[in-house]
Amino acid sequence: MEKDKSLFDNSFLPSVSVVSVADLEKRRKILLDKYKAKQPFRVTIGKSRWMPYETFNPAYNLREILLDEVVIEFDIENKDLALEGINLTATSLHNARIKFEIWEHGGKSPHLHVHNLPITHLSKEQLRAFKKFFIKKFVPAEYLPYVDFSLCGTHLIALEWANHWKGCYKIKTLIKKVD
Amino acid sequence: MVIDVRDFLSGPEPALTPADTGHATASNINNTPAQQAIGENLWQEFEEELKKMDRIEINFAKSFSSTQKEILFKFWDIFLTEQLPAGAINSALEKNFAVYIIQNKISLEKVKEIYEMQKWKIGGLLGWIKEVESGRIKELNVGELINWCKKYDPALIELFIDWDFDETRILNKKDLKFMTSHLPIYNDVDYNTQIVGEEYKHAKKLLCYHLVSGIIPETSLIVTRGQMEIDLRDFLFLVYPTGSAKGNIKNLIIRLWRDLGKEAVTLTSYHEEQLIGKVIKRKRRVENGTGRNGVTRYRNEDQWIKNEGHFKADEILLDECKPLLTERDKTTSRNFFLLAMDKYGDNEMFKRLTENLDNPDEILRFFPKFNALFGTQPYKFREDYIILNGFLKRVTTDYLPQTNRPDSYFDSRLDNKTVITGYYDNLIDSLENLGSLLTELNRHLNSSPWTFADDFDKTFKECFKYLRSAGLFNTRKKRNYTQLVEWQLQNRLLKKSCLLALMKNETTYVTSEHVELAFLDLLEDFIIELDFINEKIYGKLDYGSVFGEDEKEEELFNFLYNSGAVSAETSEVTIEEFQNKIKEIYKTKEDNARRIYNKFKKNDLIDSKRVGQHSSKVWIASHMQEFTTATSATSDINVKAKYFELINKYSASAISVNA
Repeated sequence: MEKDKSLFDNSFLPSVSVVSVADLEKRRKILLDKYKAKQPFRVTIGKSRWMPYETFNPAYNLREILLDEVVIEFDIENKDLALEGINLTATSLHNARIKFEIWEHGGKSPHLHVHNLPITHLSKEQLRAFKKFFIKKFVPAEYLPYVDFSLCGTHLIALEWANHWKGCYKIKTLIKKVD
Repeated sequence: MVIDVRDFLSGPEPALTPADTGHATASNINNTPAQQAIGENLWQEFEEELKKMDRIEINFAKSFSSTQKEILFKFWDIFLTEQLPAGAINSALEKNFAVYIIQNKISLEKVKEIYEMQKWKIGGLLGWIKEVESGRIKELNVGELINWCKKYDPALIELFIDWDFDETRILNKKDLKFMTSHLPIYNDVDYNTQIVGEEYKHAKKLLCYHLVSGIIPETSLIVTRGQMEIDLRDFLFLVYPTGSAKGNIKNLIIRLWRDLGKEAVTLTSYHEEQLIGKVIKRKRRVENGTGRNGVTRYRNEDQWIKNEGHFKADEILLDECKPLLTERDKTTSRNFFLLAMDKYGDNEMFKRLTENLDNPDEILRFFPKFNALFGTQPYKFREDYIILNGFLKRVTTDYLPQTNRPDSYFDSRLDNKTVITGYYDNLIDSLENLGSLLTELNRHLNSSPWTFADDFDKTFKECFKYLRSAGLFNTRKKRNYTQLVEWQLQNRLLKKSCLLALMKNETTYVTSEHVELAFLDLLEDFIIELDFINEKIYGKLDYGSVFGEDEKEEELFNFLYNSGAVSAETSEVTIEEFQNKIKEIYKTKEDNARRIYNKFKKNDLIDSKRVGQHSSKVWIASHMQEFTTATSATSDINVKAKYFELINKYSASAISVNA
């Protein structure tokens, strides 16, 4: 199968390993402030009490999934299978002209984030239903048993550009952005 | 267009906008990003879904999980059949009962009958039913039911413990694939049993393991790995409705063992002498010199003959083992069976009649090495009959509930038989083939010890973690059962791995692949066994109660637990209130209540302290609360995902897994 070259044309920017701690903090703050401009949401430091995000604290390492955001990850031990699931999902999203990002933190599966979906007018129940529907639409059937559907409701995820809260993983880094 | 994430994992960072990297202006940041456009078709499809959701709400058929349905059924059953305290029939209860009645299309006539019998007034309920029918009330409110329990019957709160149980991660029987490609004798077993129907695939898989275990000689029967020492005999316990497949399975075993020169006995009597045997005294005529006329003289001499019982057979078959398991006069035979099924070498049968001496000739002493098939029908059993006495730990269970068979089932029986030309000839050939396969396996075992690959332990630990979690991260009864048998479950994984190594690769060298495949099969066995436990065993399998020794103690603990009295900080229950509760539950006076309270303190079941001059606090001792958190560590393991991962790995054809 021939790969679409335009999608693989990565940037000239340096690899994340050479990005300074200060730069990472700056990126986190930018993201969190951007999310805050959209909606109120909560953050935590590890598995502590959830608190509304008001001002930036470099210690924050988990955030609430946004209302207009769908996060897809595969809960599976075999990373190759997880990557395959992400690949196929990303391909079908791209074919449907839906923008998305792929974030990697060194865990079982990269996270696939889809932002800015026009769904914020839906009720809480409908939002959950939409997110499930969306996932079932774009994740191939054979990978659906591995999808973590709890991410369709109110749920925390690892904060982007932050060290993973579990400590055993890496910084959650953007590896692909499809606009 | 194809995307491959692997290309990006070690590559450079993707293009970021200045707004991503902090080079943005304040206006950039505060600009709300544009919403994505999603296809019109997608919206339409979703709107259809939403309409379905709305319809569901109007029809009150909010989908409850099977656990939730079971809980509600039990709750309303108790409500209708038990004596409730005064004031308990209140509007919260009747409102929810009205929703339940309409949702489940329960006959109002029957409800009226029960109300009349209980001497309750039905007017309130009828009013709520009208409200529900008009659509003004759409949902059953479980929170209200729990609050009702707190107020009127705290013991019932326990019913709702599993209410929020996430069933999506639980592997159920309907998910099981029953892969058979790794069992080389499966086709022959399938053919020879002549059992038609998908529901028997599991039984035929079990039979493959059972037959292989039956040809293992004494010298290879014991496997040792680390501290585990197991016996490879694989006892089957088939719980099928009458007219199902037990007879076919039994017949195959008898025919096969007869061809291979083994003895299979169908038991009809459970008398211990039938099972173990007896040393019999007989007179024997022996020469006793020569008489005066040269004629040989004889005398009678006592001779001890060891008449060994059925336990010396290679296979014991019990069509209906319920009497053996449950009847009081079979206790001795039952105990002999349990002992005989212990690990070979630790299962010595010993019988000496009271009139006999300790002379070895007069004693019957042997180690049984029979395999066994226990059949029964799907009766309900008491936990002490088959679980707590250790019977279920020793067997592999297959369970089929009673169901109405569709016409197609009977059609397919005819279809299969007519399609195969020369059916009976083929059958005999196939039986011979199965016999030679098993004989060949037996030959491989003659001198080889069981050995294990380097990565065996790692895979074994991993698989067992998932296997155990399948039971622990489950409903309460299944969780309790898992805790009772988890030790044996580990043995069974080792046993199945060895049997599979022999069956699949004709080897005694056990690899991680054998463990993974055995894990798949054992997981299926265990899921079915858990269903059997859930549906057919009375009791909660918690040795009486989670909190407390008896119902009264349990009620007291529930009172503390539900009042938040789980630590000094959270408790608002005073010693006086607790003693009053004791008086109420034990129906006793103050002196005795104080004595009971002191007993709780002395046994470290509760803690308490004085607060200031006039108040106090009492709470459940922290070690008692371990009951509620014992299984939390396993909840993040996704057994279902692991099962499908391995199915995908080992069966290319099973890739299209249902969601």
